[in-house]
Amino acid sequence: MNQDSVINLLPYSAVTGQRALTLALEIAYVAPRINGVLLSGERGTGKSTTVRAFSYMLHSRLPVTIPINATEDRVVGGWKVEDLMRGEAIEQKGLIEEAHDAGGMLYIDEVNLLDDHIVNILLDVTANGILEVQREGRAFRRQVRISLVGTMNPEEGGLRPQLLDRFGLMVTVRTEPENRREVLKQVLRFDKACATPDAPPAWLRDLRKQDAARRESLNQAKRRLPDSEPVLDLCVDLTAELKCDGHRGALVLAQAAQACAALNGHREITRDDIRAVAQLALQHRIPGASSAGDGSYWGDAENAVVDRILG
Amino acid sequence: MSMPTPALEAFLRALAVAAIHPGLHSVLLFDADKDELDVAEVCLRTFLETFLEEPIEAFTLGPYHHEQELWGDGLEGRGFSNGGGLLVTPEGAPLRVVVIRDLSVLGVDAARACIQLMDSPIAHLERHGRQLSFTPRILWLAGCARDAVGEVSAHLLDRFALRLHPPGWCADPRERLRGSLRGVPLKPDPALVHRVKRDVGRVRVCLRAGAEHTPPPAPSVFDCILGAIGTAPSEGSRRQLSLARLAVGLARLEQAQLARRHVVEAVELLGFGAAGAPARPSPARKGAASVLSDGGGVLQDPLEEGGAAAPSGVLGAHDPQEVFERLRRAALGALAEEVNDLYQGAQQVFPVASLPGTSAPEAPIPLDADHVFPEDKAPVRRQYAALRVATSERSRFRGPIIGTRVTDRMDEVALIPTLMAASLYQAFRRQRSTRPEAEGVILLKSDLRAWRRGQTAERLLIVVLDVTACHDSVEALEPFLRRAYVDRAAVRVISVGALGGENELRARAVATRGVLDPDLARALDQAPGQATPLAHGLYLALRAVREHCHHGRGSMNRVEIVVLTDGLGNVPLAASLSGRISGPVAGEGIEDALVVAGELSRLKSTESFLIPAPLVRAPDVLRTLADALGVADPPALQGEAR
Repeated sequence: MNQDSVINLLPYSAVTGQRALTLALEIAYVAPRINGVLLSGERGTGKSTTVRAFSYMLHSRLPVTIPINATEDRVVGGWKVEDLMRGEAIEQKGLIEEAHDAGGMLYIDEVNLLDDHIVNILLDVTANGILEVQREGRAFRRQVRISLVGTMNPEEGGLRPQLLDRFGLMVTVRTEPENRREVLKQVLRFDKACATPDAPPAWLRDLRKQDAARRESLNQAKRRLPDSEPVLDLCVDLTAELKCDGHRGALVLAQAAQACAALNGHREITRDDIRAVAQLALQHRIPGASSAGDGSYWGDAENAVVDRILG
Repeated sequence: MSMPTPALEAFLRALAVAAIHPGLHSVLLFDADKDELDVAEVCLRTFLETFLEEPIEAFTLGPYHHEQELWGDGLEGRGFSNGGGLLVTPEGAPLRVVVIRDLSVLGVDAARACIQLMDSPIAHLERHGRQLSFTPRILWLAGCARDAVGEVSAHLLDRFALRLHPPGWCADPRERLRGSLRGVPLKPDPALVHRVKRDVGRVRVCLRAGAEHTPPPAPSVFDCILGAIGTAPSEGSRRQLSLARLAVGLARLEQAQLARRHVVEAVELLGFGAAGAPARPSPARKGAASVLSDGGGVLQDPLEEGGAAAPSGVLGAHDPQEVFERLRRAALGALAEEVNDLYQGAQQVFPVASLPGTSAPEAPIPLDADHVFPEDKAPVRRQYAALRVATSERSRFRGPIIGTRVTDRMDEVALIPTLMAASLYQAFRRQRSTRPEAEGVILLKSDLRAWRRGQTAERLLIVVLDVTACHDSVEALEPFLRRAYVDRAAVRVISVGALGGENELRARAVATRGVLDPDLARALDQAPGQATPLAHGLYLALRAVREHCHHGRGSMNRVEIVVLTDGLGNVPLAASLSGRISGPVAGEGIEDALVVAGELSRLKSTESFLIPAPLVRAPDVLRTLADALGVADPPALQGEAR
């Protein structure tokens, strides 16, 4: 598929419902140091569709994607095969470098099906921020900054705790019965538009304009992140009360609240901003979450703690 | 030899819709045999070629296809014919019909490929230097026995947009048999195929002319679709979408606006065979007015047309509610409404709103979800995380081949993959070689490849079940069996004191492939006998551990032994081994059991657990046994029995 041929991609502005999913993606973009989003949820909930649409809305291209059957040379880089077979050694960047060059987002669809040795590579790179290659006659070391975005269906198994921890935010995606009708309408409408690709209808052009407007507002939010210092204590208290492992939870919570405030146009981070992102930042860090592999351990008890700490 | 016509027409229309709607390019046929799959494949290719006006390729995806074949290895055009990959469809590639004869035995590589490609607008190939993003141009056609859906990943099943049931064989099985013996293939009526093909051609012309400017569907259509399929929260939107797309396709075939009757027809097509009767084409589609007569109030019973026996009736002579019930059972809600319209202004003969059992006055009969989506209720018979490729150090020489990997060990080199890897660099290396004229392949260590093998069981669960004391307590094994399922462990059940068998003085061992093996359930469900050869049972466990872990290339690296007993073995080990009891037995059975338990506790990589019987007559004996086994967390025992 030509990267420019996007008639088959539903525009981001056409995504119906799934507010937590879109919020997480937007937060991760506005505050890239959060280091990515894991979307875990039921089949047929539009996870992959939304991620692709989001990437296209931001960068006018599909995300750099690691498919589950990728070989190591394509992940870390290797040689261009056609040129090699003609006797010329021309390096070919791997997907990690491509993602770094394209803004940082590295997308893995069905991340829980990824081969173990590829997972090990990603764990190493995301932990150290360094891509070091010593293979096939290539030797180099490069600093890279990537943000993993993964989608998965937990029915097919969970993630290793180390990989789960690499995702800054996690969303448990569920079917929204109240939106089924609208989803149906949108998709059928879109199917019809795809059937006549040479004449996109007016509503589709309008959605693309809305996408452009959304991109601009996200970029503005990126430029006006409020100071997170005033809410650090609250974030630490919340993560301590929820018995989250390590300090990363508090850090991500603060960064996510910062981004949420910017998206809402707040000059300062409010308690509601923290409340809005608490589950996204912490649900895969509370005790027991990693044993499930999909982090889905957030419930009424955790919400009660949030309410108690934030008031 | 041809299939029954009414059922066939419905089936062909469904296949035609699959051909013209890209959102329905994944068709699952339940309980279809080879001939029916062949017919479906031929029809799909015919309709696709008519719609796209281009040749269509087809191939069968088998349980033996692995990654290299499916995705290619970058060597196309270098003497390797399938170097491009069977499932890779770059721009300009012809559309492919991929047939999977039995979804339940599809290999893990192929299943993972299906997940990536089905219902996805884009696929990515990142392998061995090749980088390609492409729109999958594949129409999938799979067969699966309804009874086997529990063996298929639900994630994979959900990807199939259209589920159909073949129309069934011709009525006379003898004719079918004669046809098979003569080698006469099953084939549909050519006139019917031609008719449907003509409709497909019209759709193509209409779409190309941009002539499909139909207004959006009415809200009642969406009510129909949402009402037809259960709205359980966990089902996502795919099922409603598939139903909607099928209805849209049916409307396109008629070149009509999408209406409720198309939804009704789609429901009939999906729910086909639910009651074991062939589907009937909706009379509404043939023009309801033709069914309704005028004057005299005589009405032909629409059920009579091509369907099960239903005598024609006189509307006025029958209780209107009774007639309406028959219309409802025939999923003819639309017809009922049209009949209402005819009597408009007069009394409503069929008060649609008062239909018993309908949730909304305009909703069709809900389809039989259990019939269309049997995986929702089918017992799970698939591996845990079935789509994961599990490999390990221990399985480097065992297990099925699922791909290749780099190696630096000469004892596991796979010759062909190594040569193929080396071939990429030959031109480059010869340019830089001091002897470029030398014959042969220039091979470096970095070219070495080994086979990557799927995981074989690395964990073993041994259950020593004292049937005389615990035959009703096997539910206590649940946590161990669950762990064994997740770990894909092999399970061995050693029955102590089971009734029957070759010799009741001996324990019996049953080796199973895992928790899903039906032999496991049988081994855990045995009647108690007279003897309790506990020592022999533990001895068999000892032998099993040594066999799997310590001999030769033992593949197991961890063993769990779970003993369910009251500790009162009454058969000495010597008696079990010889098969005879030579004299009175005192406590030798218990003493021998303790000795063997001690041997078990000294084995490496082994952990033992003891589950006490519901009735423990000698707690001290059981505690001593737990100590001998080296149980880390001995169970709390009840007091003496009454």
